[in-house]
Amino acid sequence: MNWELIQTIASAIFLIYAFFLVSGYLFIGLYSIGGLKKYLLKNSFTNYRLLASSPEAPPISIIAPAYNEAANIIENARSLLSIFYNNLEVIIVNDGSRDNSMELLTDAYDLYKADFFVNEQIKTKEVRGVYKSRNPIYSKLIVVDKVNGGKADALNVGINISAHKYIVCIDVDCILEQDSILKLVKPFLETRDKRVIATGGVVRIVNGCEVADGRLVKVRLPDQMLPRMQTLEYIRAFLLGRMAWSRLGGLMLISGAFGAFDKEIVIKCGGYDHGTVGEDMELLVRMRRYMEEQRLPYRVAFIPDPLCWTEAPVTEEILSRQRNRWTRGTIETLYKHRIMFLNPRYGVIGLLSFPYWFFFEMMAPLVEFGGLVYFIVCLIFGWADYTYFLSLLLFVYTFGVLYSLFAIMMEVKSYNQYTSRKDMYRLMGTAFIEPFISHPIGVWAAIRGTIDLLRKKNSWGEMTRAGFTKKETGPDGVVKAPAVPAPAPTVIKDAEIEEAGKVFSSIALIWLFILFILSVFETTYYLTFVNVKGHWLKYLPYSFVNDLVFWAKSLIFLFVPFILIRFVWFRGARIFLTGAVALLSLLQASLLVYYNETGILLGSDVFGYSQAEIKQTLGSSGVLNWPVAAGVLAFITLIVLIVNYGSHRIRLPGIAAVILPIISLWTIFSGVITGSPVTRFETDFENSMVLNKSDHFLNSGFHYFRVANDSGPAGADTGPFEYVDPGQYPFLHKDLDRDVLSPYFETGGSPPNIVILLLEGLGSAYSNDGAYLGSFTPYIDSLSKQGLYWENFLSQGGRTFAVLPSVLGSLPFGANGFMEVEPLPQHLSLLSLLKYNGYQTSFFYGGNASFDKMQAYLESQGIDLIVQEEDFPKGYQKLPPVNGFTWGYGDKELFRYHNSMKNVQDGQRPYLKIFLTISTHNPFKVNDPERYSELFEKRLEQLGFDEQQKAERRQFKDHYSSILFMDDAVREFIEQYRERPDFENTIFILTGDHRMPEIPMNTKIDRFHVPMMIYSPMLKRAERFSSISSHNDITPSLLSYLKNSYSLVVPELNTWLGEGLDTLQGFDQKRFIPIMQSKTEIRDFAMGNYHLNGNELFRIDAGMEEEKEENEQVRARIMAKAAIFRRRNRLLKPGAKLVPDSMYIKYTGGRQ
Amino acid sequence: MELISDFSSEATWPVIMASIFSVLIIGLVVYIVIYQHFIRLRNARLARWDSIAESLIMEAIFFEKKSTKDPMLDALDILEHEEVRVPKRVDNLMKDRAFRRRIMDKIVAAKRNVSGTASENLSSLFRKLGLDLDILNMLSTSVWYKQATALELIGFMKLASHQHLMGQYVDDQSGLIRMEAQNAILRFSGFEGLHFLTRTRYSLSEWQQIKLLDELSHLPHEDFKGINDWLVSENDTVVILALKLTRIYHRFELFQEVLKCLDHTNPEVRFHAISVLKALPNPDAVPVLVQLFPRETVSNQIEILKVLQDIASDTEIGFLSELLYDLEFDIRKEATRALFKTGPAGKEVLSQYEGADAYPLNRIIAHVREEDR
Repeated sequence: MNWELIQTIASAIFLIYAFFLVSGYLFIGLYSIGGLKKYLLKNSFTNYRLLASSPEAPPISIIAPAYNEAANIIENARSLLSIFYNNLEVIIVNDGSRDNSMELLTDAYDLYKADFFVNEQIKTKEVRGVYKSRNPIYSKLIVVDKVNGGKADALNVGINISAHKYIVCIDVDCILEQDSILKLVKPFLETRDKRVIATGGVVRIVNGCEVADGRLVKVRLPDQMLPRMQTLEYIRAFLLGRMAWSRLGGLMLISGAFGAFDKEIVIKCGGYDHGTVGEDMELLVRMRRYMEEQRLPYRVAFIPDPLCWTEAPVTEEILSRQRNRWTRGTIETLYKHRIMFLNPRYGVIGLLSFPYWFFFEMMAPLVEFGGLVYFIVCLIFGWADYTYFLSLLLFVYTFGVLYSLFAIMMEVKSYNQYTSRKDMYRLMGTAFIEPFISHPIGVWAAIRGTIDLLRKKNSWGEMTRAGFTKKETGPDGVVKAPAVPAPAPTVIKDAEIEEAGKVFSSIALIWLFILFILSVFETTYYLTFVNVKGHWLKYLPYSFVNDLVFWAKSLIFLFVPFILIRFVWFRGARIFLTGAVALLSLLQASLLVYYNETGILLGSDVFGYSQAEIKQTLGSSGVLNWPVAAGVLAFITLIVLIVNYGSHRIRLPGIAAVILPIISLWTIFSGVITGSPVTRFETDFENSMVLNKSDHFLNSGFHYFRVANDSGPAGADTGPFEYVDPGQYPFLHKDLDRDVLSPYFETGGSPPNIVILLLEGLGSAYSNDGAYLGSFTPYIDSLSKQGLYWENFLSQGGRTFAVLPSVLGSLPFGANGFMEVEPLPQHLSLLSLLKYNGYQTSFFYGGNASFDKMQAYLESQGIDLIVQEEDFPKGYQKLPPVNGFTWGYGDKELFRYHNSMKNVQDGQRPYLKIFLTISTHNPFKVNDPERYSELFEKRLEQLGFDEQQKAERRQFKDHYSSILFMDDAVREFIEQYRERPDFENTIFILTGDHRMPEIPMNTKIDRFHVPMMIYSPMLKRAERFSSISSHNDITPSLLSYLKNSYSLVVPELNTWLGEGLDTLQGFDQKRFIPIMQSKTEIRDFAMGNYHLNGNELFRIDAGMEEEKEENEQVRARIMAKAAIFRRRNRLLKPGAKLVPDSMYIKYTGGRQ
Repeated sequence: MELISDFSSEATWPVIMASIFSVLIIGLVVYIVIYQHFIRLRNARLARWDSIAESLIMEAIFFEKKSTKDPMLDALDILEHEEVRVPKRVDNLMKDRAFRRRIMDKIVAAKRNVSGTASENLSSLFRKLGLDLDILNMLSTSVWYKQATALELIGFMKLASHQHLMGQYVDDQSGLIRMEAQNAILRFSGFEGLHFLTRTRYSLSEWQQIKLLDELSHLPHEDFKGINDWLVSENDTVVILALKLTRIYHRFELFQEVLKCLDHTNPEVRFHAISVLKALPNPDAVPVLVQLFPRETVSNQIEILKVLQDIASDTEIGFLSELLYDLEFDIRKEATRALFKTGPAGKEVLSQYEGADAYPLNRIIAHVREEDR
């Protein structure tokens, strides 16, 4: 299956959906402005008192169903009876209440059971009795007692009983504004060309308001968070949504809490449908459908004035249940009237309203939930593009906040109900936190609602109603009857939400404090023990700023799960946060230790290694032991105690929990996410020292996974190569055939033997002339003077993983280094081509060759012999173990064992031998350390260092000693080789795999600056080259030389990245050299006299020193070139073919 | 460069949009805070102004002209020397448009609650403050709500000098302007003002009819003319208003014209014509209604029965009895009521009626009987 295609399609669907959703909301927001403005202006001319007192005003019937409302029924009835309207009847329908509502009403209003004929125009449950008051003051009151049948049934009974042309359906617990009924009725009187079939008004949240005698006295914002969020939601829904749809003529819903209807049309449509939980929406849709089908001109009016105040759910449980029902009601209605969907026969409602409700009301929670699931799937399979996801999240969030604030502005400009400063600030603050709190509740409840409905799809329309409950109306006011018992999730009280905010803020602050403390500790350590020059004030401000940035970035990743867990388990959220801070602190501390040990920042390279490799590396570095484990445990315990202690004493206001995630998002998206290290200090070590190590590590990891998923066209290449089929074989090009070596060699005889010594950690910083730390390789230096020496030579990698593919194959890197691509791409190399030409090939390594998958790579090239740790017989001494771990056999033992092998070559055929040393690897422990310590001290003297310089070198005594050891091993090896008959026909190539990063570096390029020399008795003369070449250039030059001088058969096409060694003596170069510092990062490129490190450009001088350069033109050029390279490199996927089958089979015999 | 291109192709647009939204968010927050602050300041200022305006208004309400003892001067009603004195402070404030609007609203609000001399004094103050000029300015704009406001105030403040302007607006295409002009013209001309009905092209909404009838209810009853013409208007809403006028002012002389309306093509007009007959009780209407009944809509049939409840006699018992079988229960109910209203004979018929003990008639009879108690 083509997952990329699926990903692309899924992303496109979400994007298109988001586009239309946002566009829809934008339109609604803007379109509502005109409608609201016009209404307000027009309304200023209306004297509602006139309507109330006029004998010409139409008579209306108010229908108020009641179920178990005993607590407030008398007050509510009194409130309804006090409505000032000339021609009014109030019908209270007791829907089979189980409480004493009827008794209370009977007593309060002196009711008697009247002989009342009920014209059952709409079929309903049995009416037990119709009651009237003996008191003429209450002559307009009718109380109906009926068998319980749900709200819809109760309303239908009221409709049957009502005597008047217009009916007003109202929730009995609603509090009405003074002129509510008048405002609701007026639209019926205004229009003559169209029949007004229904009117609805704005419902607002009464929680928090002052209410006296059933009247609203003062409007206030609810103190509780959930009602406050619903207040904002209602403002949005009514002031913007309903207003715009009303103006468009497509209103599909009038709140069940308060709406007026033309009774004749209601009856013709059959009244409320008691088979749905969304009876109010269903009725209006059915009425509209009826009018459209009858071709009758009609209108549904909307009053933007706040007319009715209702109590909002204060607990998550009731809110969830409410939203669950809204969802079911919506789906039921849309399903029932699906014929209208995109049906031009139904005009605006069919073409606009219905699709809007389907796509953006019904589908929105499902799409949102689907998006989340999709993201999680991407996360699991490593497809997630975090930048993209986070930027989309930010986009949606900011739009949501903006839309809410726009609604608030409309409210302020129109009705300005919340006049106190405190209320307004809280309302605006709610806009920022609502997406994290009530919105997820709504989405989840909608998902549950959909599932509940699907489970009961066979009983569509047969659901029973248990009656309706109080305090459950909303902007969509769909229903009040709990048709399906909803689940009972944990109730989150408002106080808990506030408390959660305080807990988060407090622990977040402690987390920052811990970071600062670690930085102080780190700086103090380096100033005290590592001879870093300077003082606290020089470094700490930078460290603190970097800590602050990392802290800010981390908050959103702590906040989101914290909030999600909080919904399920309040205490669990706190435990999570404490645990997360403890683990993050441990990570930071571990990375500080790593930096101290290795001198390099740990980045995403760790992701490129297998578990076994990491274990081996850690083991050899001596950190896997019980004392360390105990230390880790103690550290975590300490952090947990600090967090626990501090969070109970440091109390930030709850609002900080809102501000902090916003700051976090801003930090992430303000560009700091790819922040580059400061280059303020003289040495790279200092620059890296002040960085937040966790930030670097996680940023690096982020880019690793992001780039891993990045794809795109290979792009055009502007290099010197003539590519033959870039579409199928992106690296295959014609051989440049630049034979630069022949002039330096005596030619004739049989093809020469090739011995390549890949020397671990050998950098130019401490080897050969120009070593700024002083050369600790006297023998290798002497060789270089007898051979061809490239003083400005670059490795292709910052670690060993890159050396074999680059030296032997001039190969691209793939995602994590060429050797990590599995299965290995079909390709040719120096190994396979020399073997094809009759060479014997062998590899010698004192460690485990499976490390970095070297063995698999070499075997894929058909190597004849691999000698590694396990092959060493008794009598050879391994490198001194640290905590039981050792890399294997040291360099001397490696060469000794090689020399002892009699069957390495048959004497008939030329050979290629490759040696990879390990003595100069961390932990830098060599056999006979005393001797090399002495040599080290002697060398310090030889180099003429002053005491300070000596002291500086002594900090890395083990490192330098191991270099001297390696140099000595090479000396012994070469000197013994001189004794061999094949020496005269042998070419030695010596180079470092990368510079040892543990010794502080001066520049970025320093990490890759290694010596490279060709030494051979066959050389005509020694030469020194200053131009820059790299490991990739070795194979092309060697093969060209061998082809031209010894007629070796090499293909006319090849995939070499290198152009061949540059033998210019002056410092000049125009080549493009990509470098992979760690297994996951290709962030270094050399081109011309420039070095691009990430986004930073450096100018390289003849001594390979570099300075930061601000040449945007050059930077852009290199970045463009780098981009092309990266794209082509990404094509190197598992199983890819670098060369055609025919070519591969010819030179390898088809070996896999 | 790759980073940039990747970002621009994928992640940049949401970030750019989010940045724009963020700026707008900040802008909105600042705007709301400032706006509310401004509202508070304005309210504080309005409170100060209200106190100044109210004191001036109170002075105007209780202002009494001194008698000149010269009937000639009183007759000439020379007020220049006897108007409410406008304090200097108010004069200064009148330069502020907001204050002018505020004091205008206050005078209008005060005038709604007073009448007689006090009301006239307020109109006088209105003019003295030059607010009538503001109204004229509003009327001269092309903004519908300003024009409507101006027309409303001209009528309400009885700015007679501007009365002549009303005529051009009574048939304006804007419903609100038309409505305010029509109301204003009634204030100036009383029932005479209704003559705009003769030529109005537009429908009169029920709301406008209620407003017009309310305006008229404050005027002394007159034997105004024109209803007979309006009863035959081509504009159905004019006919309906005329029928309402006939009903409200009990214009018995128009009985025949009303009967003619029973033949109107619009059932709504016929409905109102039927209901008028309740207010003009006349036995001659009974046979006409009985004859009309079979051809009418259900709602009109119910209305006919309601009228018959007041004017039917024993003669109609047979007709009404037949309706007890009607498919519409509401018609059965109204017919039962009518039978009850006809007197003992009707009640006797009901009690003897076959099916009187069966549903629904038993329930209907019980219902009506209880109403009759």
